[in-house]
Amino acid sequence: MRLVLRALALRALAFLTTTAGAVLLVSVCFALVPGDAIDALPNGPELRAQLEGEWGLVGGPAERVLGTFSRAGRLDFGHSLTVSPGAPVAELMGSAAARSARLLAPAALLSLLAGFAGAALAGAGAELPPSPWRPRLVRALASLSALPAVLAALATVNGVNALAWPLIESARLTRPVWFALPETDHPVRSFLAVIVLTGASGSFLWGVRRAGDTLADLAARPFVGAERARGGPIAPLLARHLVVPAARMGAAHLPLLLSALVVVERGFGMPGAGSLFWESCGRRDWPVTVGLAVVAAVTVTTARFVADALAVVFDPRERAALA
Amino acid sequence: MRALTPLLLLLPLAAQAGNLRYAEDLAPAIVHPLYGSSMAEARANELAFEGLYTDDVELATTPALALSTELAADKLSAVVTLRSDVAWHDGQAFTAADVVFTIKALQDRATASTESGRVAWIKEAVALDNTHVKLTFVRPEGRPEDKLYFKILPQHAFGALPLKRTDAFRTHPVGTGPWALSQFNEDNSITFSKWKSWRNPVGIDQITLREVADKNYQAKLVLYESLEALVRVLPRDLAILKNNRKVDLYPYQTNSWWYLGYNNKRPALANPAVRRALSELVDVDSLLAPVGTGARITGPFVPSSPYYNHDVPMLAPDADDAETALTAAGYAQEGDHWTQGGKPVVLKAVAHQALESVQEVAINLQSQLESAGIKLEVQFLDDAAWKQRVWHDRDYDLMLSQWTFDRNEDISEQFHSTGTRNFVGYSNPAVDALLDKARDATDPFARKAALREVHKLVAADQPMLFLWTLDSYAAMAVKVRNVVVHPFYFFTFAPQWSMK
Repeated sequence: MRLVLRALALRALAFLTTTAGAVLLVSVCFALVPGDAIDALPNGPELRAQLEGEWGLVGGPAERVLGTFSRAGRLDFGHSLTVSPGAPVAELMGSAAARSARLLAPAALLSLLAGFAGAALAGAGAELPPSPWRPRLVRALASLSALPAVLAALATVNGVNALAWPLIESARLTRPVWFALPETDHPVRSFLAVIVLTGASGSFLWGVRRAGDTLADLAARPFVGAERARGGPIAPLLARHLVVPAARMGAAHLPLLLSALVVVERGFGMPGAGSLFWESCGRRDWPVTVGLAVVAAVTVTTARFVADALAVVFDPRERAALA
Repeated sequence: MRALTPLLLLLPLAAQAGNLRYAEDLAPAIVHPLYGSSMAEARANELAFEGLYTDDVELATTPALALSTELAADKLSAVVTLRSDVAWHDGQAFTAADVVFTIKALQDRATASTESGRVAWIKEAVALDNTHVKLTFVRPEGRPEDKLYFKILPQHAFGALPLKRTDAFRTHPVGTGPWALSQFNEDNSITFSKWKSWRNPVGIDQITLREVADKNYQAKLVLYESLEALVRVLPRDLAILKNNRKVDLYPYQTNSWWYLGYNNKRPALANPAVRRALSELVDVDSLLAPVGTGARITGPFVPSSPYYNHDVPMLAPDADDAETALTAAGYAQEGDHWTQGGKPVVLKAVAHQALESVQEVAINLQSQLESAGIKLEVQFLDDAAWKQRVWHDRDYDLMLSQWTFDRNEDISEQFHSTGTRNFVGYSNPAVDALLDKARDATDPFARKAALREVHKLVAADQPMLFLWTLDSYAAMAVKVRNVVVHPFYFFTFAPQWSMK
């Protein structure tokens, strides 16, 4: 037990250090980026002297880095300057994140399932009989997955609408709610967005490779060999031991999903944190952009910490390594 | 397929009767006439707010919230008589106090309005009673009505001055316009509903601004009947929309023109003969061809402007003349390229990446100049980088951009040596004097004569190569009737539109 607690403490320390480093990096990036919200105004040069102080845009890069870092430490994200002038950034982020979670959560889960299913089909660590078409199918899907998320989103939206329109025009299909610029959220649109998020930008390929490595590693473990020798079913055994690697895989996959979220939400015209990030960059609303970047960084480091903690608790090899 | 419909949770979505949906690349974050920063905001403001005067369909000044203006004999003041039958969207009566409040708010430096320049010519505004406002001017004004089209705000919706961008008004605006903002929606769309107490009939019940970030997708949405209006059709989409029987195209001429600016402060480009020579190396017609259709221009106005000087000849490509001028200016042609002081001539060009079709133009220009022996390095900049490089640092040789003007076509900021938008660093005392004269002129004919002379002088100096004004087309679903679009604000005549 002491060993577990010690290991958890070490992981927590690493989490705090990494998080602080990530927030510092975000602060440095935004202190160095050219332009600010005043530049977005048509008469910005004339208003600069007045607005700089009011909007907290004064000071050199070092001062701005420290300011951003310390405010983030206090979870004080300030107020939006141009995206929704005067609105508290935390409030804006909260509602946007809640909407994005509806895409992210299923996409994260589906990515894991698709990764392991793909790896299994490709023949990694599973008991499936050899087949020439399964690896080919996985390779084909993996190649398709190399399409950048932005292109995949645009192609999906355009493609689905282009296919549906002739049917609507010929009255063979009643105009669906999800068709071309829907006014409300619809499961079909969300489903397509989740699929793009799950598969595009190499996401599926990455998942298959990572899952393949995990399954191969598990299959090589002595207890699996013993079970196999006894003639017992391997799959349930593998599934039991997949919890920790899957958690780690999910945590490692999160940055890819978060970055794809920005373009997928824009492509599908869905409001959310990714869309808000895009808009805040365009309008140079640094409080919102920094707030979202910090939250994304903390989300990733937290997910990794949780995965590491699970490993410490459930994986004896992890504890042995620490000892 | 019919059988599949219920499985897909499909519900019929007929376009609501009387609901006109139009697209903007980026929806306004706020609807507040004092803080407009984009054309999308200007169009939204046009729906919900009114000025004292506006344009009629001939683009002549016509009263809106005002009834008439009586100018004093010395032209240093005027009394504006206001309508007494106007109500704000919250039901309160519109009065002279609102006009005075708006002018004071615009003039208050602490308000930090993006529109403050629109009232810089007014020295004082005093409400004489509920329907009369006395305006005193900084200098004599010939036709103050032409400048009284800034939008009026309701005094009762605010506390004391100064106003702030963060005031609650930003998302709950109250205007007197034909449509009242009814909702900012979750998907960034904005819904405007007909203001039932508007003084004239309004043909469309509801107008919805939809955000469609992908410009290329907007025309398709009109074809798919997901939008009823498109403010500006991309040239490449014209043919497909023109051939669609459910869509009508409406041409309109904007006060926008493209130019290739020379950095007049760079030693190499300070000589007008060199600038002219560079201009003569460019075949403007072939630059324009892939971008769309439009009219070539010779100076800082569009050909339909009263200030355009039609006597200024079009500069034609002339490689021989350019060669003579460059040689006289100390340049030498070595092999297939020009040199100065033994070094090949390399020019750094910047272009605003948001400018439609700018890549095609820049690459074509690069190819033309390189064929003529001048290397051109082009960089496409986003808004912040553009402002940093061009506005602040003036770090460029050539810049490809566009100017858009409102009805006053005031080019002083761009061509006066003290102009805040004179990013090319142009300076000519004769032009300065003429611009001052035009500004102070109370006689429209004197103003016209001065600005036509400015056109001539500027064309001779070539601080920039004046390129073209593009033909603009709005697309409308055929069910939208009686359509006349305003070239700048788009919706000025929308109350007369109707939907079948």
